[in-house]
Amino acid sequence: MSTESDPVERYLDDLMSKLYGAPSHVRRVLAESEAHLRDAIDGNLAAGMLPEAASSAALSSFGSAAQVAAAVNRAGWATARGPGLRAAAALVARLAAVGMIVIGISAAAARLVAALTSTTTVFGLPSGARIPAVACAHWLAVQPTAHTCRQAGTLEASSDLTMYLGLVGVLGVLLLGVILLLQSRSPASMGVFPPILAPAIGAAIFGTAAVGLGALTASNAVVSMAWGLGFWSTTAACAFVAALVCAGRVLRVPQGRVRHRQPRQPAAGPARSAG
Amino acid sequence: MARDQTRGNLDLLLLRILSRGPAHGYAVISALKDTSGGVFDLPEGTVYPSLHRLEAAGLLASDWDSAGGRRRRVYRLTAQGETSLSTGRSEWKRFAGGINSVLGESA
Repeated sequence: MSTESDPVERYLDDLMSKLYGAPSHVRRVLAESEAHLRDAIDGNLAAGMLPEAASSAALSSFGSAAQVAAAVNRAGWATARGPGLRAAAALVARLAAVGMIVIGISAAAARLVAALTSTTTVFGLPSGARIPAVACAHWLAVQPTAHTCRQAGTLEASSDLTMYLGLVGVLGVLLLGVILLLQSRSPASMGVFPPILAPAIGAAIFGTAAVGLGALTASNAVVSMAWGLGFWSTTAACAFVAALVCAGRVLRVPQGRVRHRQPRQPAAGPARSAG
Repeated sequence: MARDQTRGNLDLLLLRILSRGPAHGYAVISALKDTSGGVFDLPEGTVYPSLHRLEAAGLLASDWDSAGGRRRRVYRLTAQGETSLSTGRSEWKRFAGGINSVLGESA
């Protein structure tokens, strides 16, 4: 019997596509389900049913894939709080790392745009911004090439934002490296959450950030020590691109959701006693 | 209603069936249906999460078995499971006695 025409194989494929959890847990559920279904079919055949009716009755008694997956997933959440919390921490850390990397890329992009246009275009202090005397004195002290407070503030923003946000990006790369290393050593912690979750959260966060940064661009805002029309618009564009990448991954999840699985062992041997 | 009541007491029923000896999932579920005369008729696949939960709670233990060329997970009651079964049976008898008293049935 070919894999495509075997109703048990089709059922298991359907069930697998609906199960969440650690790969070892999913494999166990599938193996137990297959053994159960094969035993039930053997039992039905022994009771005199025709093969097609035997399969159909066994699958019907077992419950629909959606019904079984819902019960398994519900129990999985309840019993796997420890792995669930670890997976949640890993998810948050991974999202944070990606966010930090995007921040670093934004800083690099702003610097690049400044090189192509001018530092004032990207990091220029808004003309209406009030400059405290203390800040002015500090900027002129640390930016000796500037002749005015506004120039000094622009150069200071260019220097500080590039350095600090670039540092955030480097830390993000290091954090992501550590997370990937830990996950490669403990693959059981992967797959606890639906694969759509991380990119969906990423799309929401980056999308919100893009809108917020767009608003800062529109108002040419000064937020703490950050300003500059080019800076806000560059970071907004980077956040928008990151949101698009995440949204693209969300759309690709259905195809990627099907996990690779070893070919199942063909049914063999007599039915085992139910007693 | 019977299905809901079965679901609510499934842990106790599974522990009782496995107190008779180790068995794989299909055998446990078949015994559940057979010994209840078909009253306890849940979608069979939804019973496995209960077995997994009881195992995670330490009331059951399990191992793979490949007898007959088919790989099955065989469950057995642990000492903790035996204690839990004993407690659960006592509580159930007291509860059922109370219900029967109210309904005017003999316990």
